[in-house]
Amino acid sequence: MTANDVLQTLLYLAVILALTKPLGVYMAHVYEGERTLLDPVLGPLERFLYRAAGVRADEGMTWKTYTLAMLAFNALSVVVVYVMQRVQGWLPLNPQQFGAVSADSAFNTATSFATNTNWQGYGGEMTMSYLTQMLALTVQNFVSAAAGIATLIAFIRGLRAKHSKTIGNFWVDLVRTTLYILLPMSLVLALLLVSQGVVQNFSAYKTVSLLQPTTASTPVKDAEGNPVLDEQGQPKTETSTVTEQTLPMGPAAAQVAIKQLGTNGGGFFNVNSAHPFENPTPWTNFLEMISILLISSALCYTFGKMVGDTRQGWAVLAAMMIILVIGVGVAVWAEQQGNPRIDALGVDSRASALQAGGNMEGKDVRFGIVNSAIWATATTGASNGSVNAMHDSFTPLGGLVPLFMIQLGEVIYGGVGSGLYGMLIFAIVAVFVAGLMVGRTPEYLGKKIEAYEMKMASLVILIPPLIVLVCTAIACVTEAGLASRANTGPHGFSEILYAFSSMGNNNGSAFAGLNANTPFYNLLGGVAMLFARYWLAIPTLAIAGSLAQKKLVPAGPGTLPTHTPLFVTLLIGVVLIVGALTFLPALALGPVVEHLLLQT
Amino acid sequence: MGRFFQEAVSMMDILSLGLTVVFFALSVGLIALCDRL
Repeated sequence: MTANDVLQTLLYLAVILALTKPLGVYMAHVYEGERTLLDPVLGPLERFLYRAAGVRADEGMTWKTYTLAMLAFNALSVVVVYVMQRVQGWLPLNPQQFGAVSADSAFNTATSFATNTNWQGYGGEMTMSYLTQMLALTVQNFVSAAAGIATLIAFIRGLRAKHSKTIGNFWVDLVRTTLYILLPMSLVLALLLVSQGVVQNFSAYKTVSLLQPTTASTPVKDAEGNPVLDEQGQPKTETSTVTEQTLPMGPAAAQVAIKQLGTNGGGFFNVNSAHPFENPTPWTNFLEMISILLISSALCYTFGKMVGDTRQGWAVLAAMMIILVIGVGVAVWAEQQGNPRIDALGVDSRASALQAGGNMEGKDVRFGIVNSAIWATATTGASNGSVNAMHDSFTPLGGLVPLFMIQLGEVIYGGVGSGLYGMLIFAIVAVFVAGLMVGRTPEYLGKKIEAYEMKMASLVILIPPLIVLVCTAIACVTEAGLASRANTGPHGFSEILYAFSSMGNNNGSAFAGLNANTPFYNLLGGVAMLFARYWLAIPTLAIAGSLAQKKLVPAGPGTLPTHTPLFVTLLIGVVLIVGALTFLPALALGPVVEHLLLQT
Repeated sequence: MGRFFQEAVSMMDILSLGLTVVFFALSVGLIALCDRL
């Protein structure tokens, strides 16, 4: 790593750490129902929404009622997003006159955005009308993030409650998260992005003349799409000169802001934040990178504050940050090493004042290796899934990092809310393992961890790998699954494994290279995303309900402190061992073999 | 009206919405199962 790499990484982490406490305190105020600066503006709107929907804000819900409300809301979300895509051709704000999205793609996109995954089998600027982008997709970016945070807050209430049957009110948590946290932050970020050149309009696409016309050779094909050969048996090509290009427009800034803050990740344009209209300057790149981790980081502090011991939040955050820093370090190192096959051709790939060096394929020269590697690691640790570089073009070990970060279960910062409740489940497993070592009933934050909690925690930990590995196996033995690969061999396997790791952990980033917009991937992936989101949230809320009914046990001499470096180490160990044991064989068949082949 | 729906609604629509309904029904079942464990 160069000094520039280290400095940029440290600056990035320092800014996030500096913002963690103030935002964490503010969010704690929001969830404790305390007065905030935004109350005079948003209070009347909040009360109006409750009255209009018939919600009694002071009425608590049991874990079952809370979960049913969350499921009902999300089921409705899936249907609304699906229908909007299917009828967009008849609706306004469609200057490009896009027709209906195909049914299988609409199903995949509806489940993807409702589950906060934002996996995209489609290209936004070629498929979606502005109305669909705003009313279907951007709205889901807000409410799916809010549903994740609501689930976390209910879990925290379960941890701190004493003999309570209720864990809060889902509708109140949903509304307060959206109104007081996501909307104001998105508004500020969207305005900053617009000031830097991110587009926000309803114009039709513009056709402009190229400053420098481009000449390209393309293969000649017959009526059936097969290449035509010349007399020597070589493929015939024809030369054409391109003098114009089409610039896509649209209300992008509003969607980009929330897709970063809400760890959604779904781009307005096909290449996401590698597109100059989504991410035009180094300044927007830095802001968007900060936004990926900001709320998830601050929620750790909110957790500590709500359970009455901020050291607990810092301990969990420390575990997340250590794993993230290791991931960034490996990714930057691997990408800076470059490709030995290209070096062997005599190409100078060393970093210097004139070039970034290393492996720059698939990366934007404006961002270079370090900003691409930080983004790739953060976006996959955090269940965000947006990209500013193409992960498929990373070196095998550089590509292994984002893949493994996803496979750890999206708990390294993770999705807003879902990342922290996932990490707290690992914390429960960690205290259980420690309890087994010393022969004592484990406790976490004064609550005894017993058989029921461990059964539910096992479900949360086992369901994602089951989805990922089973779906990958199905794709690897079926013609429909294999036909979508752009590469054969270990890289082709990595493309499939990445796709299902991403969908099966609600990340949403794509390795690229895989044509996932087929009925096979759309349907199987859509179902995988539903299971990955809700079948983890259900046992998590069940644990919350169980813990809420328990009494608080005062800490004794045999209690394992959960705010110490020892516990942080134990927590990191549990996360890494579970991830490594589950996915190491699959990783060995993909990126590890590819790395070894590259060295020979 | 019947013909309109025949033309506008494909088998894939029915399959997609059917999968959604089945999934959420199973999820309600999982809540019940978690409650009994």
